[in-house]
Amino acid sequence: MSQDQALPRADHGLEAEQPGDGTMAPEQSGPTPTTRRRSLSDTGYAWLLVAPALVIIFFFALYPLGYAVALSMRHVDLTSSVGIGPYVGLDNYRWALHDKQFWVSAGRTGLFALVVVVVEMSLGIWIAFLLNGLRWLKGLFRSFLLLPLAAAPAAVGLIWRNMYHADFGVFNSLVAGLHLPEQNWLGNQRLALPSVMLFDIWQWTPFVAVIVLAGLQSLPKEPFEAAELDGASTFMVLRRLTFPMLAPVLTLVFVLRSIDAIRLYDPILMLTQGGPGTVTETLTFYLYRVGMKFFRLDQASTMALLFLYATIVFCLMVMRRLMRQMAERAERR
Amino acid sequence: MFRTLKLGLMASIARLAVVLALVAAFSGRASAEQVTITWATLGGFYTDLMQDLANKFEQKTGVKVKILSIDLAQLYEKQIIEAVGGTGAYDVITYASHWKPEYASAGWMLPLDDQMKATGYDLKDIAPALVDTSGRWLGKTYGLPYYTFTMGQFFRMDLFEDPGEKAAFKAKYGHELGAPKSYEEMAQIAEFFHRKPGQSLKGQVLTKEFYGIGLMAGRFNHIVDEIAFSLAPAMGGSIIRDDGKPGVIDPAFVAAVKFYVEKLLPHAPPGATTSGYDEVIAQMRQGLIAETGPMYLDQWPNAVKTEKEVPGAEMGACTLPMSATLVGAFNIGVAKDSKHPKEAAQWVMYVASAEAQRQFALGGGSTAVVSILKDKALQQGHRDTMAHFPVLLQALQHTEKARFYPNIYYVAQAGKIYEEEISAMSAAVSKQKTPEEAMKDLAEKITQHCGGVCKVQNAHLGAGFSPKPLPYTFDSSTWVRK
Repeated sequence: MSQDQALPRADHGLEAEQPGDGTMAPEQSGPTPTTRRRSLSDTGYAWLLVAPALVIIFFFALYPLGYAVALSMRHVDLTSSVGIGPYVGLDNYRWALHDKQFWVSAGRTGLFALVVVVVEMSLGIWIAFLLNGLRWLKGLFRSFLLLPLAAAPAAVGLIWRNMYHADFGVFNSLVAGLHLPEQNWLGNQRLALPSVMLFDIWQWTPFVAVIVLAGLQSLPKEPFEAAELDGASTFMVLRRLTFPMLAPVLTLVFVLRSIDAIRLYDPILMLTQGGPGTVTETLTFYLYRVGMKFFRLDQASTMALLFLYATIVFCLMVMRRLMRQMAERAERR
Repeated sequence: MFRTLKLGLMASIARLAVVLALVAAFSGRASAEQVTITWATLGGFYTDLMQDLANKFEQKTGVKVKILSIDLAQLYEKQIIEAVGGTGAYDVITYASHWKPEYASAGWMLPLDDQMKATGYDLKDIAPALVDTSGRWLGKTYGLPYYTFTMGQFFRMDLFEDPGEKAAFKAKYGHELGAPKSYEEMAQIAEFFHRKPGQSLKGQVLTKEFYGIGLMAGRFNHIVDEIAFSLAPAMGGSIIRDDGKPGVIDPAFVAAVKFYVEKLLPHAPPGATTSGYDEVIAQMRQGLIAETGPMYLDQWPNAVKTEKEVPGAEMGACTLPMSATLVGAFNIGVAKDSKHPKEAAQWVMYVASAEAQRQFALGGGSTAVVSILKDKALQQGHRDTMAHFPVLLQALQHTEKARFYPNIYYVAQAGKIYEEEISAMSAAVSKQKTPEEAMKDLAEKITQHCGGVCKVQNAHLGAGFSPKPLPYTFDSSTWVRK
């Protein structure tokens, strides 16, 4: 039996079959009936293993996605006599692309994501380097970092709403203590969005820090020791070694945080309800209103799909370079 | 021996199976006989009180009521999803007054008229203003109010009656300080009591800023009730005109929004633009404000706590200026897909009955039953929970006389229009847009939701129906003093 043929079985723990006398079986040029049956059995076994996941993906991801596509091409107004109405082609897409509120909230969402991801990445990396350099209490600080992530978003949002309150909030007490003018953090149209950003940064910077710290701790020591022997400066080590080696981790964190930031919903619901006016109304909050307050599921599905396409394109663009690097590395090996 | 043991075990299993089958059969029969109805309603103390009523109802009729407490923010969505899906998950539903047009026009509720006629149920004891605005659609009765959040106003009686403050007010404005008879007077009071640190209030020097008025100007439904349902109608504005076109761009309506922004808001605490009713009550209880703007009278049990928390404070309540006030309630109706519509209707009528409402009122609920609102003997000794009843009664009676039944209550798209109003009003008060811009945008949205001109379906109110503006008639002698 060839080594190639034996590999798949070895993968799932099956020993290569040997004749009873202890000698190796004669090498064969093609699959015997026995091996063909085994390979079919392997395929079936593989399908069996992935079947539960496929069923879940079909019912909870693909079917709803397909349904959303279908809804986006119909006239659906659940609270009117129309109900789930006739197919209207791409009318809803046309409506969404001409809807001013859609573009305004999409722009706001983009701005929000840009600011919070840049700040969270910068702060998170900085904190990770600080913690990585610690000799003592590293575990304790790491545990503290996890606290904002472990708290329920609704509960934390409510606490922050009270902390921000212009009349009773702790932030204004601090500001007053510093003899600075008190602010209407969530009620001022210029301050409301930055206040939500601050909340998001507080909540998610630790996530970046923890992941980057794990990445830093898993880097091999040899290249750094070699660089030290060669007299490389700290900047050179960071530029030539640390960041390139951390790139996969950083890219992954960047993608995860970006996706999460543009899906922003909970903090808006808990802190501002999209207000004052519509100054903190992000795309997800707007489509929630259209879908669940006006029950225009056609328009909400259309916006959700446009949003999904944009997110996929963004992720592909960001991940492309990383994938190419990994493919090149694999080829070199 | 092993065989004996095996046989014994099998016999035990067989006996157990027989017992279980008998238990299942009897419990099945019992559950088949007992009807259980499911009521989707809002969580909170309203529901806790209702559980006692449900137990009594079960003792009386044998019908079990399963109460599903749902947060108000989700109640509307959940009920609509179940109604559209025709799941029959709910037999009885709770709805706020402005959801009625949508629910009734979509056929998600069953009319109660036949059941009421068959059982001799008399609607006369329920405030007619509430029955019409909250329960009726095209002349049929779809639901009954069981908890009213009709608006009035709360103020610091101790400040209003302080001789020094009274004299100063009269000197400045030329008339007596008291319950405001107009929104101009409300604004004057707000301005008068707005004091900076170092100034004095009731002869005492203030160490922190004191505000004239508490407003619910956050992006919640409360801002709509304050401006669109109370202030604007008092100034001659209407959300929907009689011809079905948006009235929010009319000069009177825009002037009302401007008045709120320019005359009232500057005298409210800075947090007003993020506040709902609970924050305003908190401002009152912290001794930060002299009066509320339009406020839900059912909040009296919370507002009166100011008397315990602010030294020397005494609270007062009054009706709102002019003939216009939000008349609203949480109502109870039978879902179209109810599996037990007869029993569900029985429960609806029981909850709104004088017997149940009396118990509800004793527990702190704000009733719509007129005989209870008039019952001085019941209210005796219950100032903390019922002192607002005479005010509520006057507000409801005044509304009825004035025939203040806004057109929005008879437009099928009322729920969606109401939702649009929240962000439009919030945009105007936060200065994201000017009142003109915000109302223009709102008018466009109203037209979009109605698909053109809105259809005002209030023919049952009579041909040529229109509200009659009446002067302010609050009788302060009915007020229950501390």
